[in-house]
Amino acid sequence: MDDEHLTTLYSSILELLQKGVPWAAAQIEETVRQGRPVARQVRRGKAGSQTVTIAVRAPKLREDQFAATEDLTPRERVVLALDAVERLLVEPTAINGAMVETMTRVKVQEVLFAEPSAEGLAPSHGAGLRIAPNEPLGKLLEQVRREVADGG
Amino acid sequence: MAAKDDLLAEISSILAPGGVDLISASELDDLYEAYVMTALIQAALAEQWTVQLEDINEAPSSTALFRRSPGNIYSAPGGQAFTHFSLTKAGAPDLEAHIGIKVTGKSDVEHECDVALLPKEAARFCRANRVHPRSARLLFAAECKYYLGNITLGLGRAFIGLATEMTSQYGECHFVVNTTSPSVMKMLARQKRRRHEDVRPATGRFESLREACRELLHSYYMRVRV
Repeated sequence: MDDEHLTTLYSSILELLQKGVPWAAAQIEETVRQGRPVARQVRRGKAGSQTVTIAVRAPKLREDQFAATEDLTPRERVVLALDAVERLLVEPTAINGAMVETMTRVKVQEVLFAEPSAEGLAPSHGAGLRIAPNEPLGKLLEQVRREVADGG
Repeated sequence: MAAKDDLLAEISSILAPGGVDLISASELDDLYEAYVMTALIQAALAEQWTVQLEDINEAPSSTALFRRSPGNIYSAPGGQAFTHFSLTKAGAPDLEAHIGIKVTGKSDVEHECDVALLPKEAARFCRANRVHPRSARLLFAAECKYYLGNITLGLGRAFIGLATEMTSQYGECHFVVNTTSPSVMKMLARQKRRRHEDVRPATGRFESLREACRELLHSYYMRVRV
């Protein structure tokens, strides 16, 4: 997949999320805005300074290394969007399943949430029960992730 | 590129009106807090504690009712009957684990605790006197975040402030997230803050969190056993 296709795919996913779950699209855009932290190694000489390498940021920057931020590549943006879709539509089911399994071990049959309003009028809802398992989506995400990684 | 098109069609059908009732960001946070609570429950069971769900009157319950947003450990007239977990083990004072309670920090300011573990005796005192627990009484506090993208730097900074407020002799304040951020995790590591990234099924990180909970329960038992 070339950069043009990757950019189109990212835009398409974001557009779908913006229509249905705008807060999800906003979180993705926020991550894109944050960019990727890198380190630039700068050589200082009589002729001035020169950036010689761009490295993955080490735990502690050396004296000749400086922090910088780079834009995410089209490929990184697509991976980010695919991960976000998985966290929104696939992983909650697995988390809910794991949570329910442990709750069952301590004889909890149902998990509800409610607002701590004094009036007690806020409706309760079951945790994570409104998203049904979606295996086809999980498989498609894996497939597209592989294609994006392979560049195919 | 059939997979790409199929994926877009699948997402579109799920997000279409009538496709599925989508959950909100706060609902995902609720679910995640309950999931993090299960790490504490599993740790307690592994350390031979008995875990029992109780209502606000300390009566056993089989229906968990947790707070959607932070509230008081004590009851309000006409309010919801929230539940907590009671942890008991022979030879050690009982403990309680709560979701979404307000706690008073070092500065005597109220803070919100997504998951909190404290001595039952301290929780009882707070319920009887209708006051918030002091952070000094906490054995474990977790700030939980379920995010779709990377954790923002603002959340990391806010956690450092919270952890500074919540410090106590034995209490631990943990930052637990389903995703990560190299910058935030680096900042928390340099600040020597307890942090758990990528805590979700099949990453192995939930198990690390559970082990951290086991360690603090074990230390508590060794300190206080009679």
